[in-house]
Amino acid sequence: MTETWFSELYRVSYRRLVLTAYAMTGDLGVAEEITQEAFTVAYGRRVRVLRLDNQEAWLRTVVVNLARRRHRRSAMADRLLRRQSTEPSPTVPPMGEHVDLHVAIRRLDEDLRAVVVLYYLADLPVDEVSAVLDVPSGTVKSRLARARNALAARLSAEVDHA
Amino acid sequence: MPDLDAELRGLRDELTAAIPLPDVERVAGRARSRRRLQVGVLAVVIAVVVGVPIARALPVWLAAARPDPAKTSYVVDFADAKHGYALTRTCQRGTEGCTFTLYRTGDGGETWQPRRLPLAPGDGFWDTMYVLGPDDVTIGKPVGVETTRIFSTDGGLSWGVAYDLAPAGTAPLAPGGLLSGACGEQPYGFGGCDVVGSIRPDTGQFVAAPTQPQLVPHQVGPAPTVTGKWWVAGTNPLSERSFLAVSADGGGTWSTSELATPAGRHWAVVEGDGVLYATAANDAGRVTSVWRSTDGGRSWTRTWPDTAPDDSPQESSSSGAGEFLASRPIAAGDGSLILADTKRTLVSDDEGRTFRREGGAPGWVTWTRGGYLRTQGGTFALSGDGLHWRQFTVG
Repeated sequence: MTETWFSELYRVSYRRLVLTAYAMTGDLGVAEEITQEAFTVAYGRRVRVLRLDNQEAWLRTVVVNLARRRHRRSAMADRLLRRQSTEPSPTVPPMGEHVDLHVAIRRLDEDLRAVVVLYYLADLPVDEVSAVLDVPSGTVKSRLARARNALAARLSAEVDHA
Repeated sequence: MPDLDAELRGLRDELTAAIPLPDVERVAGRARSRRRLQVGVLAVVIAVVVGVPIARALPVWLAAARPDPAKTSYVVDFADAKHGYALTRTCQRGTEGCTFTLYRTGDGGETWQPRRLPLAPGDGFWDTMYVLGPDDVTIGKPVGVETTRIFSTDGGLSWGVAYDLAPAGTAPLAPGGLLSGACGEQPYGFGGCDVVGSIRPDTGQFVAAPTQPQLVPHQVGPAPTVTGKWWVAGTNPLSERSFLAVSADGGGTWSTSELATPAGRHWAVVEGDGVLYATAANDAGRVTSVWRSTDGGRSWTRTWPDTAPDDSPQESSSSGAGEFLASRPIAAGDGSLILADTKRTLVSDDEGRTFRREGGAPGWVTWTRGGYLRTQGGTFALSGDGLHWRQFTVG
């Protein structure tokens, strides 16, 4: 039987952490795998995790480390297999009412996509986005502004073509 | 044009609702089964410690464990000229159903004593072993996206488990440490980690270096050169060019140089008589360029090929070295540079500028703390100067 506090942490934080991993990997399926791995690690160290002030922040660090490692591994595999870099292929195709916006976000440069997903979708404040991406807060803000402009332009173009 | 903020909020809610929430018991169950593995390892550790006097009294039983070279894969590493370890692996099929045995030598490979490992047949694929000192050895296997390591500080008689994600502080790279990335996965080859540090021989924990080299690390030399220099190869995130960083003070400072060769090369760095040599190989395993440093890695001169700005394999093949599979170069005691694999040997007597073919095939060569290790099938040889070799077999 899993401890109540851990179940609650899992229920409250899991999806937000999946979105954090999604920002780093661009693949929802991989993001889910990484997040489950992070919670597995957390459960294995639950005595220590229980004492933490901010358990979700600790989990986020684990998720980010795992996502970076996964990214490097796949980049190396690409190099070894001489694969060409392509846009991440979604395991779950974008669907729903906001499909145009989702597609537009996926088409952003990696740096811009990451800040949009972390800030708007994972709902992290600027300083936490800054910590996750290891860039200054000012860089996060400027990327957010550029990303918004790019998204607005793309969505307007979609509307014009519709 | 719809309100972008409202659209983003809508997408957030949509995505959040679309992400399934697996049963928390599944996550906890995975953690519990890992815990069982660790407890199992500890149980065998206790059994090994208790069983040591009995094992010592049964030399015949131990001698029967000699591996069959035709069916066995080996990982061999040395702490110095005398003390080394060999991890043997025999598998039923591919990487499944493998049985692992560890041997230790204290006389440069003349004789080997088996050590019982806390690993059951079929318990994963333990594919890395690093010897950090005469009594210190660590063995690793990938588990999911992490690496689990077991380590021993008493010559393989008892074992501990290390399973960590984040660096445990910072400290100078220990002379007996293992240079690695923060993730603690295969240190030699492509660790794929952001933080450079060492795995401490006494605890198996990863500790970040005091300062980080100014590059994105792709490959590290797990053991220091003969004079204690550590090296890291990687890229600059802005230029995507190759960079090589060398530290002579345990990671306190790094000399980082851009080497004009495409990113993603496989590097090897060796040192002899105060001169560092670095070789770069492409994904096909061919040596594509040779570099030389006479100031401890602060600056590098490309010695081969000396004319081609782009070290493509086609251009390299014209002068010989490009025909060779990548093997750890040898900075030999007589000042020559040797590149060798299991089929051929190339020797340079002019500081890596030209190479001549020499008879004999020494085998696959790696650098260990105990010197150059030569591997040819199930036969090995160790050399301090790359010229005089002492041959041995395991078991």
